[in-house]
Amino acid sequence: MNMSNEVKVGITVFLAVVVAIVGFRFMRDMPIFRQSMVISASFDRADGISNGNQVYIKGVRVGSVNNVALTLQSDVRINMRIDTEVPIPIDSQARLTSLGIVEGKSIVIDLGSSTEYVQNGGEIRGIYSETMMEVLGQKGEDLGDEVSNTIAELNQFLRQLNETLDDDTRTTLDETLADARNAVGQISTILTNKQDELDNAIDSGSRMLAQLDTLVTDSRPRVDSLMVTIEQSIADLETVRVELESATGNLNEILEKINHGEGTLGRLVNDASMYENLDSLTFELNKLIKDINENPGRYLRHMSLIEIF
Amino acid sequence: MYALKEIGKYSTLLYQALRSSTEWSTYRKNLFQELVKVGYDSVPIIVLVGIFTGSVMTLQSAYQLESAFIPLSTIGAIVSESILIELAAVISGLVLAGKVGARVATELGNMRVSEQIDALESMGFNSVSFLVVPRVLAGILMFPVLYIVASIFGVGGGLAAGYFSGSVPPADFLQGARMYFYPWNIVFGFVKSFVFGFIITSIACYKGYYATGGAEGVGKSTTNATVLGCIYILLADFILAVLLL
Repeated sequence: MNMSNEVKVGITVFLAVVVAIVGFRFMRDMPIFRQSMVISASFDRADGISNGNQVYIKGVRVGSVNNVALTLQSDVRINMRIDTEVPIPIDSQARLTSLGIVEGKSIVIDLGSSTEYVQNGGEIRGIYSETMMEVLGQKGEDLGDEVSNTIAELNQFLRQLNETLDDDTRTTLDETLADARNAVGQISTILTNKQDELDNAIDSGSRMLAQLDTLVTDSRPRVDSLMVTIEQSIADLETVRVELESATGNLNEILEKINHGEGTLGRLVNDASMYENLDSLTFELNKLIKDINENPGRYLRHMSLIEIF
Repeated sequence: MYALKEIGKYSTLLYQALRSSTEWSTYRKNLFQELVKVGYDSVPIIVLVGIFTGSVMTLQSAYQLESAFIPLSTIGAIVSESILIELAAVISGLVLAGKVGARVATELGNMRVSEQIDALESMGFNSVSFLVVPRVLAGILMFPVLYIVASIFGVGGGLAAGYFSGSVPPADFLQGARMYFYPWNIVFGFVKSFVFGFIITSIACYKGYYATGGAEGVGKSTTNATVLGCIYILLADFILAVLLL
């Protein structure tokens, strides 16, 4: 196609400008053909956040940070462009946090429950949540303090130890060590001198043990027969035990019967009338004997001596 | 002494060009011709330069940053930032120093040694206004346009290389590119391309306009124009970085 130079230049420049604008909006993460909603949130601090950082709702990227600026109230105001159809409740919270250890900072919007929604240019509450690295950093400082304290104490202890180990103590220690060495030497000498006796003692000891062994071997048959006899006695004892048991059982039976008032003995034990009868009989007998003693004639009336003899 | 003389001649030529830049009717037709030659005709090679710069950047960054602790988005940030700040402007500048600078220096040198410039002067034309102004203006106006082309195709090429090689998913690439996208970088790139356009065309015009010694002299001035153009681009790049960043 044969175009005039002006047209060619016009086309080039026009396309370049269009591409530049689209590309710019694309790189700024703005929607290319429409306006996006801008909302803001104020934070105490804004470490690590800058333009272009992502904004998430429930892990889904919905926009990016547009502007970070200090306010007159000395907190930080962050504007975010939000490109989502989802309405954001007015009581939502913007949390400035980090998604991972190596990731940069980003803003997470925790949706609220209100039925009123944020409009373009509206503001929601912002909280700065410390990331793991920052927490670790602070903990690290504490840890460092503790470590240095410990080292200081250790130093002190070592110094005290050093002071305790002054020359006198050192001399004493040296003397003690020398004495100990002497003692060990003497013990060694004694042991050397008494070597023969010790050997003898060990010899006789082992001989005694051998004799004991022989003795045990020799008396084994006798011990065995003894064991057999003992076993037999134990068996007999068992029989005796069984018999005793049955006898006890019979006795128990008898006692039971007596208890229940069965049989002669039972009645005797359980029936009081017999005793009473006996008692009255004895009483009567006493009376009779007394009477006979007093008036023997009454009873001997009918029997003469002759008749008797 | 020689250098001072060169600077003087160069400044005089630029002063004449500036003074005669108001003679719109003289160079209007030439300007559009030059705009097409500098801009429109250079688009294909700039597209190529952009795509290859971007894709090589991505592949090499991915190779170098092969570590579990560096998120893939870092590669996107590195590639797009390098292209927008530095490579789109400088590499296109170097390529165009060869393409545009050589052409301009050869044209003007040939006109000078074949005494066409003298003929123009004798006919009452302002040769500087007629020949130099449209070429320098074309460079100044069209280089930013070519910078846009190089940037778009550079970032796009980087993205595509990451996607096709499987090393960087496009989402990660874009996330990184957007996280570190500062509008000032674009302004910086535009300023650079503007300055480079001026440097290339003005040096080429100067070398061509003052060419002497027949065909050999034209060749020498063309070589000088290209080499000096490249050197001054790098120098200007450094100075601009110091001044603007």
